[in-house]
Amino acid sequence: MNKGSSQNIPPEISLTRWQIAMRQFSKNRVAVVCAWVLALLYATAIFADFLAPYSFRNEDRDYSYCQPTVIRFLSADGELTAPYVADMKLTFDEFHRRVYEADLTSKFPLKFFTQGDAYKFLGIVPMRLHFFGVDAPGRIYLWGADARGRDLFSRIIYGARTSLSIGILGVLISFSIGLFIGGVAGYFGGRIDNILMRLCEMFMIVPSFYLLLALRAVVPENFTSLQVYFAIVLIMSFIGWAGLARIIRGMSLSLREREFVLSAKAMGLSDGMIILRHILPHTLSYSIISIMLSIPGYILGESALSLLGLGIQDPYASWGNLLSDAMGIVQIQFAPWILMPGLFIFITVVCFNVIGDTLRDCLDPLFKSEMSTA
Amino acid sequence: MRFLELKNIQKTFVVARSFWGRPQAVVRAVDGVDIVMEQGENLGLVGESGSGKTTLGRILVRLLKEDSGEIFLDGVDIGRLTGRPLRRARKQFQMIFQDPFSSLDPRFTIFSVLDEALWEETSVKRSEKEERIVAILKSVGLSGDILNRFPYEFSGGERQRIAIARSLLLKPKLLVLDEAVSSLDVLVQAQILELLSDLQRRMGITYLFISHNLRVVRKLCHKIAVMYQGKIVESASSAELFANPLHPYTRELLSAALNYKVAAPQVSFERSSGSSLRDMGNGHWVLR
Ligand SMILES: Nc1ncnc2c1ncn2[C@@H]1O[C@H](COP(=O)(O)OP(=O)(O)O)[C@@H](O)[C@H]1O
Ligand SMILES: [Mg+2]
Repeated sequence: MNKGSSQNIPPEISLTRWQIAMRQFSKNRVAVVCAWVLALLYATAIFADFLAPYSFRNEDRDYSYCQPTVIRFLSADGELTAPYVADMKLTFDEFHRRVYEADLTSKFPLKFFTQGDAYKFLGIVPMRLHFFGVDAPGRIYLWGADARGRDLFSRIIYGARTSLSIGILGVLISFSIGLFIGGVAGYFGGRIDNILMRLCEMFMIVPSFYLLLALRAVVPENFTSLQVYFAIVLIMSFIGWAGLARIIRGMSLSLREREFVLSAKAMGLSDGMIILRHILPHTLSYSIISIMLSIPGYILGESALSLLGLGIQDPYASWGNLLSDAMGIVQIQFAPWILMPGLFIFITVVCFNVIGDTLRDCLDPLFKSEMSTA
Repeated sequence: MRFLELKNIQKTFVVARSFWGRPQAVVRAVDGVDIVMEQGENLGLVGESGSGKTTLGRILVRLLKEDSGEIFLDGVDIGRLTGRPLRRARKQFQMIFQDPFSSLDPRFTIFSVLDEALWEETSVKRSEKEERIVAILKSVGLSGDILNRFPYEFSGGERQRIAIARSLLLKPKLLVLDEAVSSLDVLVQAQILELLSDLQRRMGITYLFISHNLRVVRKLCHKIAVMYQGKIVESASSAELFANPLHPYTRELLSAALNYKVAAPQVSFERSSGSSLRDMGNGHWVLR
């Protein structure tokens, strides 16, 4: 009698619905480009010490606000040569402002895989190798110098470490809290749910930027830069989890009535196992979209704090505190390149948003089918 | 010692609360139910939708907590069990749900769906688990090469077989089937019922078969209890109940299910205040 049941299953490979959604994502060119841009930015941040010609604290006050260096291929008499960088001679214009003029006679050839400032590769291996650079006393400022003659290009690359990691780390922490609290509240319901949700609301009532400032004020002044960094991450995660927890709680509330959850319970699985195996995975597509869309908030939050001088402290770099140099109209007018970090913040935020939106379009059917009661 | 004994089970749901959280409206989903089952003697629980069958079934398999009452399975007071002892005891009583599309986690492959039933056996090797799973799939009439497929690739009937296979892995004494075939078409229904009686012969499981459909229940069950508004209004052996329905509600159910006229005139059956069943002899009980 049971013979017919297994015959009509086609022998094709089973695609998970995730794979289907990911195929759809890869069809969206803009989103794929954004994903590559982000991958590039994160790779840059990881290999910052190697890619940057100088360390983030390497300064030379003789080159304060030096304009971007031109890489030249023609010598003074117009002949084609190997790429080089000309020495910059400091002069003053009629308003006694610093002006740097190229002196084509003193040349510093552009070198690849050259020795430079010491660093520890990936934090372990001591190295001096840099991707490119010029020999001292020549200096190369691809995107100009800041007030203390530090290379903005190098500092943006180092700043990427702070700014990009703060988004990921912050989201990881706040999502762990949010998933845990939301999952538990929705699954158990009743009094636990009540208490946890009132707690969430307490966090959501306070306008987050004021809470951010208030909490930042509590951080002791004698913290090292690294400690401040983690304090900022923690503060922002602390603020960010509540919204997610509420949504996850709603999903978990409806998931716990689903029959596969009931049957897991009937089979004797523990509550913890059920939440981990059957509740949270079903919130995954929503969570991923939500993670992508909330990372920019962390990056912007750090930038805003740093812009106000409350974030990462000089000489350490983040895109936000680099941008805080650009708060004066004089600097912007005469050294417009110091706005460059803003461009990076912008690009990163846009990329995360585009990816998040595209993921939403691709995962939406998946999400809907997971939350429907059918 | 009785195989299964439910004593005076009560369950009300609060459906509306005042602003201060006081219950304002309640539904008496199960209103003083007594049931006795013997091993190997399937019981069919029938009644219209909303009569409290699912609630009773879920109370029995400890997915819902009753307000009052006692449940004994093989002499063990499973109504009192909590925590780890309850989780351990759960494998003795399993439930098959109505909706085969919802009872298998769509993210899981068939292997992981079934493997979940073996959660307690952490030391058993995967290959051995696979063997057992393939064997159990064969015994419910599915081929063993579907382990890496996903639930959405299967029809309702096939999924219900998978769900049955999953509970069989736990070797339950009692299997509660809550409208387990109601969403399937008639032919598949018949196949699943066939499978169930086949499994009973081979594995000695006892079924509590919940359905709104008397015709389906009749094929599998030795005894039938009719439920109406949270109460058992009549219970008897299948043959007796079909031959001699006493309660007006049973008659209505019968005439709806079998499309035949029942001789007795239609009496109105109001919600009965008493809950004591009257013995009509021959194992036939009816609510006064
Ligand atoms: N979780 C619940 N909350 C409130 N009312 C419920 C709940 N579950 C069931 N009920 C009510 O209890 C009654 C019995 O429902 P149920 O046991 O599902 O009946 P059946 O399975 O016979 O159709 C119905 O009136 C239903 O609305
Ligand atoms: Mg029901």
